[in-house]
Amino acid sequence: MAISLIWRFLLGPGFTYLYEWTGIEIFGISWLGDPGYAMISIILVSVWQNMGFFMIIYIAGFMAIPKSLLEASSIDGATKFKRFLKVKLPLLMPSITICIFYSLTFGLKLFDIILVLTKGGPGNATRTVAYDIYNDAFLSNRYGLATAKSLVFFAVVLIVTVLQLRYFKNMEVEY
Amino acid sequence: MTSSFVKKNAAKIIISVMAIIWLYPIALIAINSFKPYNEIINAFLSLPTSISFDMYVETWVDFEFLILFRNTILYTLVTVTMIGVFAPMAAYKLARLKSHLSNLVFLIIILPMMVPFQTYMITLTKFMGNIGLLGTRQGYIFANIGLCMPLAVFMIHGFVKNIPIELEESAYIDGASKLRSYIQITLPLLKPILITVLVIDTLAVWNDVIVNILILGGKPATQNIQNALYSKFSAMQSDWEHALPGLMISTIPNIIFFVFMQKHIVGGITAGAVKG
Repeated sequence: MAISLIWRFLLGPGFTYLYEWTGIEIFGISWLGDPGYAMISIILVSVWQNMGFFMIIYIAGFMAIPKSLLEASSIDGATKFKRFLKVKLPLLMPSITICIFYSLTFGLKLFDIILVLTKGGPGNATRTVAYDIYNDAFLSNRYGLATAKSLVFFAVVLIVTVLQLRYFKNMEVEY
Repeated sequence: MTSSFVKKNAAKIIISVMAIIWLYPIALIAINSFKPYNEIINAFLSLPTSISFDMYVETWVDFEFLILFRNTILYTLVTVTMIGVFAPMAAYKLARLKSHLSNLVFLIIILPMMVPFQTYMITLTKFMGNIGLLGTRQGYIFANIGLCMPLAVFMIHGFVKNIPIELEESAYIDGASKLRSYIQITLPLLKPILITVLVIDTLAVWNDVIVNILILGGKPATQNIQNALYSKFSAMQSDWEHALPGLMISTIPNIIFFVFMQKHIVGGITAGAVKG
């Protein structure tokens, strides 16, 4: 919640000031008011917010790679880049699976940031399913419609995540 | 000399610079929270001309932070205590009983983990209304306990399976009752996972917005901090000189908690990551 509010301040008065001060085009754009850019700013804010979370998972993944495999690869004459590509990356697959799983579910369920930054607007440009359900149920009092939507939403989330987990589990290697 | 230093530590320098850029938005908020309104608008990047806590004091009174902190601490404490008492009990029994029924019950308890919150928020709210708990503190606390329970039971359940049953058996032989062997033998062994679970749940309840909005609505007397921030911000669109100190005050507990619990938070994230 605080994150979204911080960005509402920065994207609002903060960018206005920066534009007047520097005259750089980027700051002059109405980042939350323009349908094309609102989505980009939502995405950037949510990336900014979740970066640390994913980095922790990746760090744990890197730490779990056995040292012996890295040593073996360097004895076999692998360069640093090759070692990363051929040894570390395949062994990091479980972390990648989890991170993509989380980012998929975070993205599908995105709600807080939308609620604070754009309320689904301008128009319907940034309306996510989660916000749409909330909007229908508690702001328009159309409970029936919202409940139906929420069941469809559940089905979609389930299918997407199961497919993703299956597909990525196949890419994981045994050693 | 300098060039070799740069070469050696290039990666570290790049990472440090990126980390500073990454945190700069938060620093900007902190700096601006000390400024009066016209300075925020006219001198956004510069340091405040004079540091005064007047705005903080005004905001503390204006936001009724005393009530908000009391509410949030109450909700968090009660929820976390209940989770801490009941989740290990449930998880322990379900892990130790090897019957179809216990498997089924376990499955039912952890099922909500797969369902997005938005799917059952409508029914949750309606249900709370039907049993007369909508808009009450009890209702909110019950909802939170229910929402936190699946993950807690799931994580502890996985941990109990790795605790050797021989320890409890020897306690039985020495004449301990079931309850006593649970409290004195099993519970201390569950401590690492229990701390992780409680840290996750503390963060979840403290930072919760949507359940608070749904069950307690906009009443200032029962709101938690996050909900109040949201509703206050909506009300005062451009009153940034009060909004920013409010933001800072509400963030400080999170930062303190993070500094002290960093190890467990990281542990929680990686433990949660294993579950997938």
